[in-house]
Amino acid sequence: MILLGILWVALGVYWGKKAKSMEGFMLAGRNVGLAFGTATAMATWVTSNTTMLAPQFALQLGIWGMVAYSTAAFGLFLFAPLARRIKDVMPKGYTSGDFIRLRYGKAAWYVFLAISIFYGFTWLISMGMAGGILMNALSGIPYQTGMTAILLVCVLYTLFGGLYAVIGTDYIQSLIIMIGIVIVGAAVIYSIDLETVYTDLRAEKPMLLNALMPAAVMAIFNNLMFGIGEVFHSNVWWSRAFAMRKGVGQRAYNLAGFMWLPVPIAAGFIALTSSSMGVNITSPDMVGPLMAGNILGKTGAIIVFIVFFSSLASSIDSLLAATADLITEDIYKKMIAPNIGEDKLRKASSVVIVGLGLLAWLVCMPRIGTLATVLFFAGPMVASTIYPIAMGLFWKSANARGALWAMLLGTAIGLIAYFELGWYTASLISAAVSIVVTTAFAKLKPANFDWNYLDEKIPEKPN
Amino acid sequence: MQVLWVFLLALMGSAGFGQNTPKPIFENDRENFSNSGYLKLSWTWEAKAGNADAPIFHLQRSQDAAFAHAKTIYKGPDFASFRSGLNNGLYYYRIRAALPDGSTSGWSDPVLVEVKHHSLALTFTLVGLGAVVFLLTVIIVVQGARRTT
Amino acid sequence: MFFPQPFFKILILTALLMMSAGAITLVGMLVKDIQTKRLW
Repeated sequence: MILLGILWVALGVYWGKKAKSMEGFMLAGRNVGLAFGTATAMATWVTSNTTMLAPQFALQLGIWGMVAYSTAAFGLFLFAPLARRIKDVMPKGYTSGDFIRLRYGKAAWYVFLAISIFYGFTWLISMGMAGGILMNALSGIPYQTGMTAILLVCVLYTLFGGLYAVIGTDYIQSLIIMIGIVIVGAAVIYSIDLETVYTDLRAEKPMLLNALMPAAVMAIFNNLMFGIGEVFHSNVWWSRAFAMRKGVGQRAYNLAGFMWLPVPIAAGFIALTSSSMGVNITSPDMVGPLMAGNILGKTGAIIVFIVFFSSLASSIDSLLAATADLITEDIYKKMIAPNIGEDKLRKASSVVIVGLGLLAWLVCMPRIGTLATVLFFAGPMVASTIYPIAMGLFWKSANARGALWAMLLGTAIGLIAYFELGWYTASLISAAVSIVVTTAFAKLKPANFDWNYLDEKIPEKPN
Repeated sequence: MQVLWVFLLALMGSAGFGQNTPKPIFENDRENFSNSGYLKLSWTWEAKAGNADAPIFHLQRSQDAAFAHAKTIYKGPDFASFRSGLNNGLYYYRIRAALPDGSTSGWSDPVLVEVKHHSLALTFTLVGLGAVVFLLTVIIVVQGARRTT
Repeated sequence: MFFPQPFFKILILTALLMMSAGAITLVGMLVKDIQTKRLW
């Protein structure tokens, strides 16, 4: 772990030399090619959630659970055309917040920023905690030490190298993740017969193989909409769209989608072998690492450790960078100090990255288990932003009040569904409300938006 | 005399060694409900004073309250077991602790888990809604992308 | 209604194959980007 940590920081410093200007630091010079573009999208989407939650989904919801998790790849597929459109209408843009502000004005922007920063920060915390718990489970390092180490490494290389470092390390990390998961998966198949696994499941956990398991079938479209909401609104993905060279974005996101699609199944099925292997699962969120360690022994634990470390780092760095950009650009520059010079903005950005890292560290310190569940509240919140974003990019008629009400009502009704029906319905309900509200406002009170506003060629319209 | 010995042995057997191993206690409610077919069973166990041996737990499941057709589903030292993939139905669980010296506790008070999956009507309504919303989203994006290039 | 056993097997094997193909593609793309000097 120390070696990997040193490697990432060293690469951060090395690539940091390229990041002389603010554009270089925030958007890697806006000229990222296909290989790095694809890898960064794929690696960022493989989070600790994929490598830990996919086995958990398999254990709780069975085959449909894994497939439901895989549908999150549609977030990347559907964002591909958006990435191209974003680059076309906002060649000089910086953040997703910029888009909402220019497209819909201040009120919608505030709500959007609240959703976006809540989502980014809870995701960051959930991964900091996951990192600590994993290190502890796999190698016995105390929770606090592991969590501190992983956050520190990510803060350091993001700080030195900006998006250059984030994208460069993402490439290496995505290779590690893919090869690691294939090795573990192949070893599992080698050591236990899939037919036996199937027979044992039929006897012990029959619902997991049932094609009509209600909770699992419900989870399919819910997870799909959660994934689309996450990708469409989050500055993590927008900053990558801005950073990629013209003509690269759409292909990179499509390829990344195909590379990501099998990950939840390849990483998740290990959980289904627990009955056959006679392994008792005490906590479903640890089933992935537990089974890998059990089947593969010490070598397995090391591979799994490296894969997890990479998948955590590749997402923590991206979140740090993208959330820091959102705070620096949208809150600091646009709300507090509009005439700030580039040097000072760069300094502000560094302060924000360190501050975010520190805040995440403080919240992670006490290891409050229930905090991770807060991330699931983000499902209905982000799903409500899908249509304000998608229609806002393609329909002149989409308007500010539609966007505002879609986000507010979608979030509210989605949260009600969360508590009344179950977490596996909340994002879907929220998306359904959002699509109806956004469309209704666009049809009943159509705006006639001039796309040139987005490029800030024309001064901003008073709202 | 012999009768007395038998009596004494019986007394020791019931109160002295075997039954004196404390029973594990489930942390779950006595009656539980799941509409997704999974739940986590967890239990606590306190060692008798002066005995530091770690126990092995025997966890049994049965579909009838009398445990006539009980199946041991876990034997080991953990204090929890995550169960999933359950069909609709009633499931009873009980647990006991066994110590390395061969003594075992009595069975714990059982817990009942009722599994009743969501109705297929609700499931298909949500799947239908999901399919429509997803399809519309694809149309919005694909059509928008075509129109603008 | 259960997923048939072959489906279960094929699903998992396909996923692992797709991931291997993905890793190879990723390396191929990097080589090409370096050759054409279009890395970033």
